[in-house]
Amino acid sequence: MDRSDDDPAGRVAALFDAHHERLFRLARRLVRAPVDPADVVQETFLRAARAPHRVPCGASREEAWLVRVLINVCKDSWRHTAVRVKAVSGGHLRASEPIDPEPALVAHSMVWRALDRLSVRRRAMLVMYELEGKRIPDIARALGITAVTVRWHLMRARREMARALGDDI
Amino acid sequence: MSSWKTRLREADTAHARDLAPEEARRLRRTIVAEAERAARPRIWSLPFVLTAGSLAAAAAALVFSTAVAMPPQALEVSDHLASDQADTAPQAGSGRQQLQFATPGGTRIIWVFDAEFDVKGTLP
Repeated sequence: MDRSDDDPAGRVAALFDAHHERLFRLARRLVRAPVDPADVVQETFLRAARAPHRVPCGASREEAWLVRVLINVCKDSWRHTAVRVKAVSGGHLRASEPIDPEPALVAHSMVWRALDRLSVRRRAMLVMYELEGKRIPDIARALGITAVTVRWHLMRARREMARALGDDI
Repeated sequence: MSSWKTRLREADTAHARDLAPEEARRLRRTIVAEAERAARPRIWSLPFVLTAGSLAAAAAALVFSTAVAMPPQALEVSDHLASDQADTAPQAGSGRQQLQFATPGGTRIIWVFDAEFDVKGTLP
């Protein structure tokens, strides 16, 4: 009998303590405004709390499970919020609402809008690789897909980002 | 490093924030409470089972009473069948049996059973 059978609340609390910071960082990089990353993290752990027996044992496996759930929660939140980013001909972005005129903020807004154009999974892969410094095999293991698939999505994500931001790949 | 990667990291740094301790505690409380709630045996299950059982018993009683009170037409058909059973006796030396009965609509049906009928013989 594993711990989730004995003390499900204790196991969920331990899961939260071990993984909430990393999941919050990932959620912050994945959500689209106006969704609060804390809400996404809460929903992720609530799903674990409702079915703790479905969370596999072992730090890396439970983290991978939580990351997959978080990505699904993000997908749901994307579906529920209106998409405000529109592409114009030439692949560059046009803001659908006024952008802060300060140059640095404009640049940052453009980056987030470019990220918003990626699918949730592709964005998650790009974030894990470029910002979290994860290795491709680790990303593949976390998402339950092959390394070849991760490489392919990363290549497409880089191309989309470069095109959206008008840069070289 | 290409420019978009630099811009991505700069934007990420500018956007960075951690979960506030108070917010983290609030989330933890909510999640643990949900886990405790999910682990508790559901108190609505007993009334639910009792209600479902009562409904099932009522449905069974209804079906039984309907079966006992058969419609007159069905009884009539049974009478036909009973009277026609006499026709099912084998005719001496013929090797054939008949079953005659009438449908509720009044159509009279005669089935002839041929003891010498060979299915294989009908195949091409």
